[in-house]
Amino acid sequence: MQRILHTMLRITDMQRSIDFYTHVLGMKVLRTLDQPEEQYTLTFLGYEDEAETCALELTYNYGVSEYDMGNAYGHIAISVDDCNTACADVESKGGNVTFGPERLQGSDEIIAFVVDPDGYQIELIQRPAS
Amino acid sequence: MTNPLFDSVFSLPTHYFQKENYPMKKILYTMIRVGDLQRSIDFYTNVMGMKLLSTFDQPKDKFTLAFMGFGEESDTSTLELTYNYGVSDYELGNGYGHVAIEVEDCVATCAAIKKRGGTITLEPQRLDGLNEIIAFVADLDGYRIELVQTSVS
Repeated sequence: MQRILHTMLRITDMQRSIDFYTHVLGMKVLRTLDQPEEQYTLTFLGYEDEAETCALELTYNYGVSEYDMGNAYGHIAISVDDCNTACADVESKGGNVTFGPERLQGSDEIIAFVVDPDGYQIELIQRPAS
Repeated sequence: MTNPLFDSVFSLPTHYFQKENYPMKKILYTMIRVGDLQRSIDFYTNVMGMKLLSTFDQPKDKFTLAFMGFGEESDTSTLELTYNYGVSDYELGNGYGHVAIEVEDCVATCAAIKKRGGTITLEPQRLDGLNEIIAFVADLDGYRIELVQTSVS
């Protein structure tokens, strides 16, 4: 079956982003690829091996310290067991919760948003146990 | 880490080696805003081969969501399309890159996409240093979608 492998975001400081996605969001570094002759480094992060689950690809282009975020791309969403606990956890590790936790109207979901060091939004979603 | 490139590029934070329990479980989906929801649903189903998994209309807040995927949300990561009533254009910026899709045969998939009216913006090519053949497709809002054939011998 075809499947979604990863979502790619360009970031401006690889070490800072790896620290954030591992320490604050609990991902693992799955693999890295440095291409000095083409002036970029990739890091793939995720909660499981890429064979199992969708990953996040971070691209660092040598020397690029700013990107235009636009308003088209939204966010990636991450499932959590307990949104309140997850937000407290994020904040205790120095992350910024920019919204919630809040129960969505007309839904059983509790969601929150966290912002990464480059300003990308990440949604945390708690769904009722099925 | 055993990858020698790794140490030369950046160091692993010490907490990476500590066993910690995080409440986060998995990446569920990626959300992008689209200018015409029906057009996008048609593209992701007819051209890319996804299924429409669910829709959610919220007239009070003037938006509609459509979840698209190759399988059910419980099995695989999905794509969330957001349509905001009356908004037909967005600034794509240059921060967000793309969503990548695994395919069995990149060349055949590109041919099929073209036949269904899709646009290939980068023809299938093997990446230096990776056992992958990749290509890029543009969707109707200008988002790029990477096709990845892994484990190419």
